[in-house]
Amino acid sequence: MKVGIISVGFSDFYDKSINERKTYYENSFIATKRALDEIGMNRGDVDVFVESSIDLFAGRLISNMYTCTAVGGYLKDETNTAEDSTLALIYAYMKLKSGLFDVAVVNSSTSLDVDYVHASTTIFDPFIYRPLSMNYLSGLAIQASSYMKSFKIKEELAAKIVESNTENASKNPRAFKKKKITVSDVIKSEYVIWPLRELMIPEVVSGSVSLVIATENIAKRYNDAPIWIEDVAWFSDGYYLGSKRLDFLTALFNAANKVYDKCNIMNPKKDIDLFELSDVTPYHQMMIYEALKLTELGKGYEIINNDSLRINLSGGNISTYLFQATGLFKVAEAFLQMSNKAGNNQVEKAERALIHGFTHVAGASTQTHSIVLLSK
Amino acid sequence: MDKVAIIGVGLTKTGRRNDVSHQELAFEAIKTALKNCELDIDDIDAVVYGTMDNFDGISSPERFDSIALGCGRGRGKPMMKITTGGTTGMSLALTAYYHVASGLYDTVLAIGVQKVSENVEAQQVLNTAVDPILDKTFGLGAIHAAAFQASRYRSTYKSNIEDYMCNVAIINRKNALRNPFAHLKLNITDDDYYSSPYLVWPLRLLDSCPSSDGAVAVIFASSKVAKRLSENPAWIKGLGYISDSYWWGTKPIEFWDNLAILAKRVFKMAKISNPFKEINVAELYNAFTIQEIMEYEAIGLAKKGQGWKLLDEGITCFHGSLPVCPSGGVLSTNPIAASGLIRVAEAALQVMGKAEGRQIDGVKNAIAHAWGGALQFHGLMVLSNE
Amino acid sequence: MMSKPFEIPGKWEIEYKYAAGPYISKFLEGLKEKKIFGIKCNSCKRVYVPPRMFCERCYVELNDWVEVKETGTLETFIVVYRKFYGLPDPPYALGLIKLDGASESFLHYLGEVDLSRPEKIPEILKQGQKVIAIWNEERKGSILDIKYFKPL
Repeated sequence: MKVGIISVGFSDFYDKSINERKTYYENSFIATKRALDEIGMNRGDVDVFVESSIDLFAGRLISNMYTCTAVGGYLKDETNTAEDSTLALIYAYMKLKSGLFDVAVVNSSTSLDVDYVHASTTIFDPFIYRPLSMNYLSGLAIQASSYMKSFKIKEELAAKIVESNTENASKNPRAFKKKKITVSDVIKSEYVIWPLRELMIPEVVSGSVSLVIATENIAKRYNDAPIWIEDVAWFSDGYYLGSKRLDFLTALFNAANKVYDKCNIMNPKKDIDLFELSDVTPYHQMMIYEALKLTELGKGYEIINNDSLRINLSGGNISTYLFQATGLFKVAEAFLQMSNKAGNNQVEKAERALIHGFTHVAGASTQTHSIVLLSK
Repeated sequence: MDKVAIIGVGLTKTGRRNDVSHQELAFEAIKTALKNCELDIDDIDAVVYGTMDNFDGISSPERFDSIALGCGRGRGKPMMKITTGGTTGMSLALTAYYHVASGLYDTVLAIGVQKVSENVEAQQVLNTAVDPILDKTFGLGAIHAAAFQASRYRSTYKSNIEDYMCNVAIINRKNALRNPFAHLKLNITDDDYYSSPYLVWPLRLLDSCPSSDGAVAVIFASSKVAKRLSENPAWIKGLGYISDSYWWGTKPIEFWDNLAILAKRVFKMAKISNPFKEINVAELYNAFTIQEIMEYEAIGLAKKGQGWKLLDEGITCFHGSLPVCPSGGVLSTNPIAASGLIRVAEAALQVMGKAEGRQIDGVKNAIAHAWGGALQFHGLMVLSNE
Repeated sequence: MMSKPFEIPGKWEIEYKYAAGPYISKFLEGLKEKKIFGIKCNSCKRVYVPPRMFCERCYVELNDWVEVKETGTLETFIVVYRKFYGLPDPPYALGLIKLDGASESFLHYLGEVDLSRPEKIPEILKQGQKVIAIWNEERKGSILDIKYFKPL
């Protein structure tokens, strides 16, 4: 029994410079209403609701107390995961695959009520890492540093990744930041946490994304060409930095192997048309290529000049970074491409897409990498 | 659609566990559950983890605890973190169920961990959940919400409901004496209850749950694995969840109608037409005494406004015809995110015949319940020996 | 061998700047002017205080602002007697008050009530009692521009 995405909806996105912010749950309402209106559904047609809201960043304990009704879950079955929103999609997918439900709304919303780096210091244990002011960004920087050293990667390569992602963003009507950033711009920007320069670091913006998914028979009633969820996989690794490879994304590698095995993908570069990857830093994007077996270990840079691969047509995190809602944004972008509704940046032959989700709240510690494979 | 069962549980000693870190507490529960099923951590296909971060002073503590869950070993594990307030423990059970029922995984571990003693005052932490712009300033926490319920029940249905709350307090605290994993083990009398001070009128100290540290692990399995590994697994016959509005005024406070709506749905799924007759034991989320009485009514064991009658008739005490919380309930032990899963674990133990000193005879059907949020979330599960 | 495990003290100091959103912002501005705004759902006709962007039941966006009265009915009440660390000093009373013109109650303090003896509370506060808002002299667009509600 197949499960497919039948609609997507976005709220407006805001950055810190915009004063008139709506609350994160008001944005959830806007995104969900748009997704439902698009296919003529109302909340009564939906069986289950799954959000992805992380209390620390939403600024309220039990932050889904507010989003549950905003997504239409009043007196219905609703729940919340505190991971990247691809996991909310995966959870909803599991509920539908159980045979007990037919339609789900999946939503995630980012708030800008707090400084993310500042708040993330509380994610680390009070004994070993927090006293060192470890935060999510310094954790990611440690991985970038390790990767650079292991494979002698020059920062110009990372800068090229930023350039390529932002060039894609300049063509994407839905990207938040549409300005192309050049290699030279990146290299001129200051170091924030070495080796990460300012223009390598995605900036959190606020906004919300909703998807509607349904089991096959219902899906086809609302959308002639649902985009099917072909497979899903996710893995988490360990906490201590010294106990794992910092220059390789093992959890993602394991997820990729699982998906490729199940779906008989022998040559991901050929078998998959679109990739939406979570470039938390451009160094990570190279590591992601390697974990996805698009290239060999240490050779992520080889993908940079490969024009035949469609990577981050959305513009990547560097252009639109909704923190944990980013996963759903990427799934939505892939959905639009595959549905021929992408607009200005529409590409041809988008029949299979791999979306990478990444819960990176603890920097290099315990990362949850997920893959959602979509096909027509 | 294939059946799903619980094949084993692991509980920890609760109370103030300043002898262990968060990670070690999680490990204690998991180790025990694995031992009880004769499984290894490598046999676990996926992990579902829950905690309500703020109480423990570590945000996203699943990151710190990950190595206790097997994530630091071999390929790591698919892990998913769930946070839904007081229902977190129950949400973990539901999530683990769907992991298996979807066909994706066969053996799934649900683990709930909480160290409430790590913070200075749980009500202060709970106060960070209420709306920060309109409600926070009033210092509202969980006990205040329950106090609203008690006050309104009193004014609407029974002016001496306090006498029945006393009854509930005595029964639960006495039940806890049989439970080696309970936190508060108090043999109290009526006098103790009436001389216990009001915390938030009309709730007294003895009406309230403690701040506990504890962890619980429950292993869910597909029917083919369950049949292989367990002689008497606890099958999940029905389950469900309901979410209501946050805003205080949108729901009746004297009757838990959102739970009533959920109970009807879940009993239908479990094919239970007469809960009073067909359920043999109920592990309800009685964080405060009044709530247990309101839960009887919402679930359909008693009519609206008449839950107290079950206490007059001795139905819900340990030797009654429908014992409630033979474990001592949340009133005796409340490691918040774990509590909902402890209800599931206790109900499973009853069905599997492994509840030892607190075992009720002849249990066929058991229910587990949890509530959370602004009196707005409920989860319910029906477990059975067939 | 190791002695008793350590307990390390710590504190979270995380600063937030909560976006109130356009609906709560308008509500708070109204309080500055001693006006209490609710919002009406044209589908089910309920008037919500505090106002919100959408009706949870009908799931539509709301735009119909109404002013409700500063008098209302006390639906439920409690009295805090215990000092909880970090929370306001006791004793104080809280109520769920349904303002005249609103469909649902909302949370606020109850004031000018004798809280000195818990056993007397049921004689002093009653479900269904009429209450009126007592305003602060200085108002700055906060829920506490109303000092408390006083039983009439």
